[in-house]
Amino acid sequence: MTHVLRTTTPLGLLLLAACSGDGDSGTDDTAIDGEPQALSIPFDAVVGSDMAMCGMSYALSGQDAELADARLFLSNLEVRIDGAWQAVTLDDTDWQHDGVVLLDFEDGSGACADSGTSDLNDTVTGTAPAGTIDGFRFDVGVPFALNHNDSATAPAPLNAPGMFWTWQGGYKFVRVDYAVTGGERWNVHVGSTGCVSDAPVDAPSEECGSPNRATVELDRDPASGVTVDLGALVSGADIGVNTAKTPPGCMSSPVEPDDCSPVFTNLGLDFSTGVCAGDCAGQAVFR
Amino acid sequence: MSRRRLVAIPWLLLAGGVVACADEPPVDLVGPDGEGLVIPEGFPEAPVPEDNPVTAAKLELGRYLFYDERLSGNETQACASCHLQELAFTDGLTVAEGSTGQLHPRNANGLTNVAYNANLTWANPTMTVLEVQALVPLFGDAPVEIGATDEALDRLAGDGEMVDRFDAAYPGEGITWDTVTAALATFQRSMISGNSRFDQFAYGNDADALSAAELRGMELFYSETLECHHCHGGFNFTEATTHADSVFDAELFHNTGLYNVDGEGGYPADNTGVFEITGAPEDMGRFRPPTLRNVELTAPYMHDGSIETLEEVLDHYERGGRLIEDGPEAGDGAESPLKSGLVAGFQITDAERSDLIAFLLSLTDESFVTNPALSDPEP
Repeated sequence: MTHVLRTTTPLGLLLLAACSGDGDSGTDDTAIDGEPQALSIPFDAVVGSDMAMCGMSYALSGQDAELADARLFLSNLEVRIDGAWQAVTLDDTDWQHDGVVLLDFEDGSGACADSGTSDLNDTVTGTAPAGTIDGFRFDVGVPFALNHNDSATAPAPLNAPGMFWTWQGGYKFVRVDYAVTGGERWNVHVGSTGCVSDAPVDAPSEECGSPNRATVELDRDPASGVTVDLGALVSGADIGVNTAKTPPGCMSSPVEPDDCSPVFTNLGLDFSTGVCAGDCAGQAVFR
Repeated sequence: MSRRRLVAIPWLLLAGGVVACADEPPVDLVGPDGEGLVIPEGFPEAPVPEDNPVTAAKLELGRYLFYDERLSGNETQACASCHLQELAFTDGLTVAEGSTGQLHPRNANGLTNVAYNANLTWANPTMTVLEVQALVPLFGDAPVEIGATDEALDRLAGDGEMVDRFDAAYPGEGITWDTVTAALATFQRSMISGNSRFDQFAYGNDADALSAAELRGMELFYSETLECHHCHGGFNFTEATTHADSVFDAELFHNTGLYNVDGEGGYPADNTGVFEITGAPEDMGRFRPPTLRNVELTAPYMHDGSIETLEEVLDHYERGGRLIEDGPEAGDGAESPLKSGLVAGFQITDAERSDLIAFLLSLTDESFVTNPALSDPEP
């Protein structure tokens, strides 16, 4: 429908709105006198030391592979001010709704044509309370209350194509697909599993058995931005091998612990329980 | 007509009757105030161009035009000649046949929920608007489809009732190809199918609408093992779906390993998919995933009608690509380097296969294919 969503923010460039000097925005852009402060957090996707983008080849676990998708939902963004966690109100945009943001690092080119979109988003914007921020945290995923609605009639970004399983399973929180050169696909689809309802088209009334939402906490001002390492996501997994008779890669299914355990560990999650191992502090994907 | 293969008919009969009921009132297509489309429960609003909003008068005009053979150069074919309501607006043929007898290289597309298609025709990334797409069958000359000429406009202008319908739909705009295509597009937008037994189960809260076998088939359909819903997901059973509130590009085309004529993933030269438009090597064999709604009625399948039954379609996907052992199209699609990674193959039992097909047949919407409001106004 529209291609106007291409972000104009270069990768890796951080903009705190306070620095923009734009007096026409209609929002207070400085944190003085208790006024809320605007946040703009750039996310920068990499595979190891290389920029993550469709059409490039990366060496991973002895294989050459290209990205075939690279999207993830984040939610519940909070900042730490004077030792207390405070909620950030995300702007309501095509990429953000009701506290959920979709990051999209694939442009639908190369192997990403299979499922991707031309649209890109690498920035989270919102408003935080006044004060000096020295830490921030967020969940990787869509909150339960929004996770099992009908994607077809949900507002953007919750209607993004290719990011919804079913009402029962909800959204793919993380969709990072690799096309192994000369081999098969190795897909990372992290989302809730063990969701109980009468049919795939029915929403569960209670949280799923394995929510599979990681919490990421970083002890610094988000002004420095966040690097998302899609190579570290599959570190320890052999993307040249897939457990027989299971979906290619890790699709969070309980039948594929060999494929999924390393991925979940890299996100700070315990694959067997579907919740944070410890407080997810072991995650190695976001830095 | 002798070429028509009525392969879908046995299914129809088995399914217990896609038979028009004279007593059944028309299902409303347009809103109560004569404007806007009626959208089924659970469906998002359909995209409608701002300069061609839906009205009852446009729907009536478009319906008459859709069934009007005077549009074709030799007055033998209407849109409806290749898009039959009882077959969910397909034609049952392997490939479509134009008004002058030329064969199209492709299978006639179904028009179920065509308003929601992210792209129109089988494989054209640049074709997104029905008003524009209508020009292809009207004026396409390789092959000739309807084969329209400006004489058609004269014929319509000589019909007082049609003149009145144009006046009502597009006051003061006259009988032009702009108004013809705008009315045809409007009528096609009203071909919305959302009343299958699946819909009654999923959106109508009728827990008994699906049988146990169909429910088992649904589980398989939505499983990560079979991956059906990666391309055929969402309310419209194709991810290549857009709607009024879409903001992200929903363009999707896949090479499913149907052919591999040269060992490099090549498709037959008359049917190369998106490659024909872009010339990009990676676009060889890429086609749009069609909706699976009413799939029971739309045989034969694939862009070239080269698979006759749903069972054989499952064979193709189960194998992860089609093997053609001999002839000019010989090659193993499973070995195609251009095949989508989503077509990885799977193994299912005969019972599972039967359940999966049962679920697919639950997507048939009898009210859609019998709705008098979508039928020939002058049968």
